[in-house]
Amino acid sequence: MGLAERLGFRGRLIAAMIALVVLVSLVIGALLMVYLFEDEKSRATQQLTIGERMTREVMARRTDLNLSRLSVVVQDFGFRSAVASGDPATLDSALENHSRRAQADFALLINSAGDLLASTLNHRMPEVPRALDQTGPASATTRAFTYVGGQGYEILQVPVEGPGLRARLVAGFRLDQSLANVIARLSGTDVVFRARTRAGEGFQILAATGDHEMPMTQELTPAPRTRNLFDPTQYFSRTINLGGDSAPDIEAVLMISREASLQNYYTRAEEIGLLVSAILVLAILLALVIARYLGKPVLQLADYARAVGDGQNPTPPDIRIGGELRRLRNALGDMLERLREREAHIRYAATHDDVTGLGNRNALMQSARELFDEKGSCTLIGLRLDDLSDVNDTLGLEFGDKVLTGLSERLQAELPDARIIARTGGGEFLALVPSRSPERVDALTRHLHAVIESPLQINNTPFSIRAVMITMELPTDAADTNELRRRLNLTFEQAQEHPERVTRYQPGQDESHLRELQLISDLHTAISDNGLHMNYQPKLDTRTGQLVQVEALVRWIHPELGFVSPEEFIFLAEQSGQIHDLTAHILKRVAADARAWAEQGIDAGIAINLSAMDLTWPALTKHIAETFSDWHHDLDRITLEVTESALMEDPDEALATLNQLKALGVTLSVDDFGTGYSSLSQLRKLPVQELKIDKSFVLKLDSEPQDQLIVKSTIDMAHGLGLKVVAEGIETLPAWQLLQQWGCNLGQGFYLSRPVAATDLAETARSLVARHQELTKRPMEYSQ
Amino acid sequence: MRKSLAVVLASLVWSMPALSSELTITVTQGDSNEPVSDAVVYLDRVDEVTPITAEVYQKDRAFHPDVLILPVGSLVEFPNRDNTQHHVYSFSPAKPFNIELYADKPEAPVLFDTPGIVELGCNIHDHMQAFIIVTNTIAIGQTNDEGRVTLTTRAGSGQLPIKIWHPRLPDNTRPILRQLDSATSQTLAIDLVPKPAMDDSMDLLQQRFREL
Repeated sequence: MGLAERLGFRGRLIAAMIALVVLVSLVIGALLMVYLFEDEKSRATQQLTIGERMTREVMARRTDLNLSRLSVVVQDFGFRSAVASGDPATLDSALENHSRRAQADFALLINSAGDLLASTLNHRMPEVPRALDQTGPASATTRAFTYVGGQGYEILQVPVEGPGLRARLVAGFRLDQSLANVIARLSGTDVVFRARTRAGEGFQILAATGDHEMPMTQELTPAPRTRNLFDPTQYFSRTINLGGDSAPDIEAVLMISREASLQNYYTRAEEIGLLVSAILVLAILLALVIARYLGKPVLQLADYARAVGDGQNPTPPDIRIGGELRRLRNALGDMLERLREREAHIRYAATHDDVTGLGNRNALMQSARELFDEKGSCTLIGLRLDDLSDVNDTLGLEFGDKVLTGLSERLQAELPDARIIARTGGGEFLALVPSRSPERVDALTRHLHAVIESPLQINNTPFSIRAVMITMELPTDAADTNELRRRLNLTFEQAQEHPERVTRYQPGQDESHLRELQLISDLHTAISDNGLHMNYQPKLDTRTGQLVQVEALVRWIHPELGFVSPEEFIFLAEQSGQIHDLTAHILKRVAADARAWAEQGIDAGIAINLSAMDLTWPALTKHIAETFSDWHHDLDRITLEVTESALMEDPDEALATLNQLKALGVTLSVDDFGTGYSSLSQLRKLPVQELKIDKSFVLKLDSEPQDQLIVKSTIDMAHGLGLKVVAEGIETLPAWQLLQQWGCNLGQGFYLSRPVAATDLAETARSLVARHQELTKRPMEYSQ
Repeated sequence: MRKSLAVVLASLVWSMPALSSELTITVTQGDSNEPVSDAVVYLDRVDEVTPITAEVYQKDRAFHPDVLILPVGSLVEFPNRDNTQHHVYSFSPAKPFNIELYADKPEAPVLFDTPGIVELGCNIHDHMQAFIIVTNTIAIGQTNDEGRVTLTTRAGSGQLPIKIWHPRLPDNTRPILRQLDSATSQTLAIDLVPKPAMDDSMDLLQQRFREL
């Protein structure tokens, strides 16, 4: 990571410098190259211009020279004599001889009428005189360029004027290789003589210098001054029309091979490239040096900043180079200072209670965590004020804060060896003190409790508060912070329910609490997934021994915990607010089972237990009415059993519900009668039709005279009030017979039948019919 | 350069025919209507002429006279009165002759027995020039400064062929032939080449070439 960063920084620096160098070098190089190219071009152009002048001059001088030679010839007496002689043979030979003297390549003699007198050519060349300007006077000298028989010539015509002699000498001088060489040598360019034989046709090359691959058929640019930087041709060229405007065009083309200039150009480019490379290498070295020089402090600063970020307290790096980096270092240093201040502030705020200055819950938990990590042990002392909110409400928050402050001072005074003392909630204080023996812990807590409840002087007013205290042994009672938090709460709840001064956490409490939590969460699943079983315990008519009703009993076999008693999970359902769902579910199940029995021909009423909370459920009546809307009997065959204690919790609400249910037409029964504290006067007001004697009075009925008394008098009293009586918990024949004897209306118990599954009810009913004899037999001692 | 014109007229020994008349011809230049002096004008006819002996001498590297009118059959002496030798010759078809370098006087005079224009030159002095007009008519004359010349004609003739010659004719090797409708005085226009600006320091051909 560090290496990558280092490379990254240097790499970027080097890249930036190199990019700059490359850019600048390329721009300079490009400009240089452009100027070079332009320079080469202008030099070439200049050379061509000079060459053109040179060519014209050379041609003019050549013309002059030839003219003087010719003038000597035409004034030669012998020549004139030969012309005057008129003898063709003489004339031909003289012309041959004298034209050679004048170094002409051919010569013609024409008389004043324009007729050919003699010629050194083997054949007549009618185009030669035509090329000449014949408009002037006969004595005039004319000059032309023409193309004859594959060669280009400069043609000069001079008059032959002796006394009495009038003729014209026409002499042709070839534009040959040697002339081209002369011009080329003087002008330093390549020279090409060429001729356009006919308008619109290509050029014929007459002579050319240089060893260049001149495309012979190629038309060189006819424009005399092409100016194009990237001329596709290989030559800078200049075309000079020798013959003026007359056709055929005889031209001299001067050419400077671009190869040399380009070669020059490439050489320069190579040199510039080398220079750029050298500068690049230098730049890289410089960049490396600078990166080293600059990068090291930057890296130091980066490490410093990282250390600051990691919360260490590093010493600022010694930065020798001044300027920005030093300022950065100082800024980082200042930042570190402020960060530490702020962090300290935040840390204090995060771990302290702002009222008392003690630690807060975070601090306590952190301390506990450290303790667990150290595998240490200590005693936790907890304290909750009972009535802090009342104090705040009545005496004001400031007063409450003073109470808290006073308390915290007392705690600090009393627990000097505490690992931490924290205010962890409104009126809750926790302290971790070194482990002691149980007796000493007891002594300490008793003393502490006494101190805390002794009056506090607040605003010169003695003020005493009440508090509960708890203790836990760590790590015996809690081995990690999660357990600690749970068990703390449990113990405080425990403490508030049991008004002892100091409550010690009871091992196992938390486990049962966890079991409850699991049951609560799994109950929901069991209700929605039909995980509950319904059992039905028959109730028999004591006189006839017939099955007249079954009590619906809900059973739950938990997949992990096994059988869960209905008392436990119904209580939990009430606690967790699932009781209505559970009741509704049971009602549905019972209704379905009852329909099934009716189809099997079993005629049995049903009894369903309602919990205390069901009685405060406004929708209960509607729910029952809907669930049993297709009930096949009268609704009075549905009995709802309500415990005494349930009725006592909220009598008015319960009474209203009971009245609604009565109005619906169901039978209402008081369950577990005799265990609650209901007064008979209340009982009298209840709209119930039945009492169900608690099984605790019935289980040992045959052997306990007191129970017999209670049961018998209860039956009598109920009958006196016009209520039916049901006895449950009949386990023996004698008990059954006693109840028959006392006129109890219905009986229920293991002796008669255990609770059975819905599908087994038919079988049970048959077996009960089979026991009819046994169940209706009267004992002898009562046969009076 | 104005040259003096020497005109040699043959004295007529025979009596003129009674039926003769005067014809005045004025020669002008065709483009400017200026009178042309020193033009030789003569009738194109054959008369009985009397040969004479004349001389064209060389003095100051020039021929004197520079125009000589000569009847057919006349003899001409070419005396050299310069301190240089001269080589006088002519290639004119009317009388080609050649007198090699000499001083004083050539051995024999030259006989001009064919009518025509004979141009004289010197082979060692190219600028020397003279003309001998050889005719077989007596009706011949040179125009004066007003361009006029008076010729004697025969009466009764209808059309008159007239020949005019001047050194500066475009082709000065032959005369121009004009037909006059009547033998009345009239003006004839001829074309002449301009007088060359003589500059001895420059080669004539070169100078001409420069003028192109």
